[in-house]
Amino acid sequence: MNKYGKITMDGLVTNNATFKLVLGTCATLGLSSSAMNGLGMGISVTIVLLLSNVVISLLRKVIPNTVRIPAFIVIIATMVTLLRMVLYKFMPDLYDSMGVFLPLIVVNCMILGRAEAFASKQPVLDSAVDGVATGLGFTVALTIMGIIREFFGSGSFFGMKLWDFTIGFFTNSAGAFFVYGICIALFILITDQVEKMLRARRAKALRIPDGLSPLPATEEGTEKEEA
Amino acid sequence: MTVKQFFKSTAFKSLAVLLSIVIIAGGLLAICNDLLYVSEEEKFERSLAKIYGGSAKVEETIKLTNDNKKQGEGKINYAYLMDDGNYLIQATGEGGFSGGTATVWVVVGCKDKKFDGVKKVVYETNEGQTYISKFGDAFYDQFVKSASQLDGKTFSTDKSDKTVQVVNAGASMTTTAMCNAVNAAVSFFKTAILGEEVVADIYAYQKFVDVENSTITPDIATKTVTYSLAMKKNGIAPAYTANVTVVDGVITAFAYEGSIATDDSFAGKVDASLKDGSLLIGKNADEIKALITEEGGNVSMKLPADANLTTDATYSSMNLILAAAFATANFDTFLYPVVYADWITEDAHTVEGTTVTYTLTVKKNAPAPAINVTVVVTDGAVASVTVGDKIAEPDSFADSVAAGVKDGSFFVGKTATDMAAMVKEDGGKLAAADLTGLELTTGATRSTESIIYAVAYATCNYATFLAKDAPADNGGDQ
Repeated sequence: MNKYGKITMDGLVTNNATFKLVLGTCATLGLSSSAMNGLGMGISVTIVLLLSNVVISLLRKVIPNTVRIPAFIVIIATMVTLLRMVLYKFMPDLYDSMGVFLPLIVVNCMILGRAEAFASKQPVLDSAVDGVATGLGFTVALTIMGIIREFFGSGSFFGMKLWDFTIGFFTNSAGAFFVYGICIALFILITDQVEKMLRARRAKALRIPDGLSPLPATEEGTEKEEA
Repeated sequence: MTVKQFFKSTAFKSLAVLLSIVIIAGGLLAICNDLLYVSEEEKFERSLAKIYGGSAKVEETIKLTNDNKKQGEGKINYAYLMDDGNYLIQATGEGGFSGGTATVWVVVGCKDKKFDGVKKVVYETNEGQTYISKFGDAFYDQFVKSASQLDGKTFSTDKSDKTVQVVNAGASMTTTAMCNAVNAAVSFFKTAILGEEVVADIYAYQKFVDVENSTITPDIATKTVTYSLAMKKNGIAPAYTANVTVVDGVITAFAYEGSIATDDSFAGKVDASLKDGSLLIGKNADEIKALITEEGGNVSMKLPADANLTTDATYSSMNLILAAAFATANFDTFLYPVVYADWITEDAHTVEGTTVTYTLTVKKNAPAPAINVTVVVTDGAVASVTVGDKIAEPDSFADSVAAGVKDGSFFVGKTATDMAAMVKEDGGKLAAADLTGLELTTGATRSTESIIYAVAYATCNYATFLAKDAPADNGGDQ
């Protein structure tokens, strides 16, 4: 896998901000009541992540270390304000449905986290890919949660009514926590299984007998064995 | 540090970089704000498109006045007559989460100059409502009701006979604000556009008490009013029953039945001095009122300095205080009920011994003008009636008023029972009972009705005023 593939996989799966790192929980719980809300919020965060990562990466050599956090916050807040203006002008319904969570993107720790951990140290293109991948990971997570909550809570799928039977629990806060917990558990279960499967396939490919580590032995270990 | 050193230091570099970022960001936002500005016209066009889904034309813009802008717990922002004959009203409802508001567009149906139900409700904006994303189309569809379905009812989160329940589980306070907005729009249509009269509250703090389902027992002899008040839901605090005893205007007992909060944990947060009534017992109307502030029609809590009421159960605490406020503020009204007061605009009465002398003004009863009448009642019977100079419009009609009515001789000796039999109010319009037998149908009926009404007021309230206003040695209050 090349560098960009690894960054993409990292943002989408390996270090998924929502299900693995449990970042941006406020928006996740508040805006996953419907699939459309989740998708809208996810795309908004992706755009802010992309723009803020690019700008921060461009300015990484200019911004002194001592003032990097306030500088990042100002850049992120600018991007979020711009996004608000664009949404209010061109997508007022989405703007209304996101309510207070839209300005709250400024304090989403996932965005500041990526700025601090990645964009402030890496080149522009890498940072852009990281922003998109992390944002898409967040988007997919929110959309999945939104689909589940909307399906059971409102009996619809992306606003299309499917049935009249609804379970109110899924639309309230407790339901959001419940679905979040279930999603995290399933995500960990699936990623663990896939990882095991990949490890086994790798081991098979290297023809390493069962019980032995596929990793090369350390020099220290080799010396001991020799001794 | 020299100036040169300062300009080379990290501090200066940090300051310069931060300032540059802020200035560039500010400039960028200023330009974008101008480019992406959404004008009021554009907002209105958007709203029209959202509401009507296509073209719709405004026929007339309804002029709002300070008197008709405020409607209950809502405010009217804009009102338009549309080309389909219905009215489009933008209203803001108060009482939302954290004291915030919700603004909606309401299409109020109008057919043959009559209310034809709520046709559509579309969300516009909000202040401080964090759960707004929970409100989808299905929620707003709950407001679409025909005139017969509403039939005098209002929208509420409460489920009672007099309301149409609107539900959004988990966001009940925002739902309340939405209900207040729609109710304001309907009320505006009925009062400002159709010209229906507003039925004003009779009692102080009446909107918090279900008076019809309350039991109020006055006892003039002991100057005691015993209340069993059916308190309404107040914000998120549920309905409950308050048992209050007021003697001589002061609370002597206070207890409650039922749940005062949504669950036991919140009930536990209500201060003990409120729950056992000790904070309220011994207080009169003014002292209870000092615990409450009223702002723009909303009653909010003002906490007394000496009581720790700053708990997480503000609405429940407030509802207990409101029961005490209702009981004390309306004490005189219930202990000394005054009847036939609707058409009397002025009453200056004096009590001397067993005689009550009234100087009254009866409201204009078109075409009859406002009429001044002086009535003297002794031992429950009319002693004399003196009618003012201006009793008809035009003056020539005064000749048509029966002589016995004009000089008062017709009323002398009549008691409360006699007079009550002669008065009736018909749909808000004053109308005397069948005057044919009394030979008073003289061509100036309205003037005659007004004078009869004044005398009925004087005789029927004689006992009340004698008990309330007579000097102490005659058994009165003073």
